[in-house]
Amino acid sequence: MLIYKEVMKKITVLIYTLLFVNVLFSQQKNISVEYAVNIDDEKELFNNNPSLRKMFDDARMGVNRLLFNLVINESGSKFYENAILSSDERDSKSATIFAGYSGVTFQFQNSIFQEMNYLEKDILVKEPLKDNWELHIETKLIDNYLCYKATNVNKVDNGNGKIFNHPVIAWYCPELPYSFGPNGYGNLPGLILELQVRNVVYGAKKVDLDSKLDFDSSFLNKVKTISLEDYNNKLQKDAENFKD
Amino acid sequence: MKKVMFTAIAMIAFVGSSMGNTIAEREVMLTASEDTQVAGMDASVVVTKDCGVAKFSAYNDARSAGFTHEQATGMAWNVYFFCMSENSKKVTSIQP
Repeated sequence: MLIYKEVMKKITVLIYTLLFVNVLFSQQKNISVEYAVNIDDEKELFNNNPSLRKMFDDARMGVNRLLFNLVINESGSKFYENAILSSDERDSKSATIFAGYSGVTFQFQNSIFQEMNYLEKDILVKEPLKDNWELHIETKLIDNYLCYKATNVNKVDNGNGKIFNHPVIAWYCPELPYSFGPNGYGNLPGLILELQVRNVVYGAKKVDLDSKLDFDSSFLNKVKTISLEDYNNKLQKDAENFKD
Repeated sequence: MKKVMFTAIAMIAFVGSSMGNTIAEREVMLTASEDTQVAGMDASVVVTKDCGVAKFSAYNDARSAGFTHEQATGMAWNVYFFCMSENSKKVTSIQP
């Protein structure tokens, strides 16, 4: 009986030791990716509006000073703009607008949460994950990772009965099995290292597989959410008073 | 006595009316001086843009070019603030 108790004690200690070692070494490492942005020219864009054309040209000049980070931890991902390197804030602001960046974007298991320029910080737009991806066999080597092409469409309804289907091209890398990417694009069988939406290209500059960057997702319990449709309706309503 | 009273009343009336005229004159002089300054500006005409209309046009043009509400709103405000700053520069430049 005494021997049995001794053995049981040893087994219990062993189990606790194994559990401790498991917890200690099974902590998932965070991943971070730094993206630069490029905006391709559109010759005909805003030929009817010199102010907007100038803004577009300024944005193209200023966009190379923008950098974005994607941080991935066990809860999901956070995509955000790094500190602006530009001395001309106006160009950088124009560049973020044309780059389609509204604010910090989180992607979790089932949803995307995005901060918006014209919402309070504690209200986020909640959207489902991007789906309807079309996977292709074309490959591309990015930073020595073999990446595959996936395409999609970004639908924009301009409110006058015209729907724009902007092409989306993502290069995802199954070697990096994380279904995240820039600006809320993800839900592919690999990390997106390059993303093109319309004429805007986000390209990975640096991939850190053992990153110290992290984020806390507990804020989700405190924030309010609205749908993208409600947010768009609000902006459209605001715009009706622009002339006054 | 009647003469003294008449003289006193006449004096008060004269002083009162002359004081009143001085004030009016000052006002007139001020106005005349401002007129002179504006006339001295070589009668240049300052044309400022209606920034509200520029903002509204920017929003609509951006939407027509396939940008989202968020992007169009951002562009519209950007155009508006740039327009306001340009208008302000024009007005400041006519100060003597």
